[in-house]
Amino acid sequence: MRTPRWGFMAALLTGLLLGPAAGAREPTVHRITVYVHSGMSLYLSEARTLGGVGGGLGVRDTLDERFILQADASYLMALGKVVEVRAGAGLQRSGTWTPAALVMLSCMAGQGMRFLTPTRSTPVEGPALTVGLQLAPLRFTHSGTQLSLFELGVGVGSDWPGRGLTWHLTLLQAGTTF
Amino acid sequence: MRKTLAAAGLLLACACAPTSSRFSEEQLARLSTLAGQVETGQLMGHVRALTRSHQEDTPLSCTPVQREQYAPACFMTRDRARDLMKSRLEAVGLQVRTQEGQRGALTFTNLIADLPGTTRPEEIVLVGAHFDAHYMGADDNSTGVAGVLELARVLSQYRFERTLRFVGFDLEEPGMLGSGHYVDALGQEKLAGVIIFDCIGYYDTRPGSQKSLPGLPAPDTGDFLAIMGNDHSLGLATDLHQLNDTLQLMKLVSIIAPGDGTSTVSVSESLMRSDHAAFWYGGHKALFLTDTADFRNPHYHQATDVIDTLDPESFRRAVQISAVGLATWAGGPR
Repeated sequence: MRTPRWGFMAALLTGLLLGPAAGAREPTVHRITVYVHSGMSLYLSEARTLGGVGGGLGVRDTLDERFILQADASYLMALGKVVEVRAGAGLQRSGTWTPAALVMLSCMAGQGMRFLTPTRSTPVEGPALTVGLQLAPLRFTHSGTQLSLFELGVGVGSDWPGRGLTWHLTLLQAGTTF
Repeated sequence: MRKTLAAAGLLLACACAPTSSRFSEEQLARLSTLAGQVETGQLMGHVRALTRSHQEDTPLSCTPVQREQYAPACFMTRDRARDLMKSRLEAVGLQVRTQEGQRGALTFTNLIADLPGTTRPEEIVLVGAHFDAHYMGADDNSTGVAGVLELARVLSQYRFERTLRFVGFDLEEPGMLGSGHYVDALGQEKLAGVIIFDCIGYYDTRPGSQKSLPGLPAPDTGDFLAIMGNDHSLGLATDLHQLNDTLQLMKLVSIIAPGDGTSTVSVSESLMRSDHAAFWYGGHKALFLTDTADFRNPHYHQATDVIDTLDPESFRRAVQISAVGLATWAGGPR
């Protein structure tokens, strides 16, 4: 009777002491997802309006089903032809319903409406850079497939002197996880 | 005396304002003098005569369907205004030729007058306005025609490297027929720059007097001259702003459409509502100068579009900034 009790106690103690340490040493699980997306982005400042509707490709690394690192590129049309490259990091919920929130950096370059005003007599040049927040409330993950609807984002940047705002709407994003 | 004072004022503004490296002090001084020769009395005299000519003219025929769809179409005149424009261009020593055209049942006649360039006459800097109008058409577009006539008077006193061309376009209102025909017939002629006037005399400083479109950051007050350009003509618009910064003439707001500006997106479409659109379709560098018409003027295409609604001083300044731009692009004044 004594030997088994002592054996159980020793095993439990060992597990309690060594369990967490052993878990922390486990390698981070990366799940790479390649996705396509469509929607619209608009950058508005006193110096220019860029953006349009379109779509593109992206890649996402989901770490331990919790943390997200992603980057994507889009080709947008309407107010000229624009390429938008975005990179973001954020958190998601685990499970099938996986809503997410990300901090996004955006770089938009190409044609657009430009404005000259009494305070700005030369056109602004270069890409529009913004940093902002993106929310993906309707995002689902199941059997290696990710689907997201109606992601909303807002960002702020600078067309000095002045402020720029980016509005982003992803209508549909679909990805395959490897 | 008034001309001398105006020129002196402009020279003072030129001396006090920071100068751009794009333009030399000597050039700016010459441009100031030139701009000072634009006279309010001349401009308003032209508008008065043009509105009277529209009032006394016989409107083009229109059908009951047209009357029902758009009543102002049945109050459109152009013949007497064209005759007046022709005679006044000739009065400043310019030879005027006509260019005939027809589309469907509509015939039209453009007016073209050249001030030949001295060293590069094959390169043309053009300023034009349509002379057809609904009702009396004080702002739309007697102001534009008056601007062309006053520029012809002032600029013909000088010589320029490039040819300066003054054009009256027929039948803009039914769909830019005259300007479309003109651009189609250009052939090998090289246009160095184009300014189109359409409604340049109505200004309102009251808050809320200016309407705009989403995505276009127009001021709330209708006290500025709007310049519509595209990527091809961005350099011309920048020139006007930089000259204006130095000469301190008036408040300018430019909207530059992407590419050639001919996108079918509604915002871009709203920037193509005059004869410059024909030049944009043809790939030419053209600017459209306007008070924004019905985005500001409640009398647009109404019987109330009369001379008393205009702001003569702002109107003059709009023509002045055009004068210095045209003179610069033409390589002068000499």
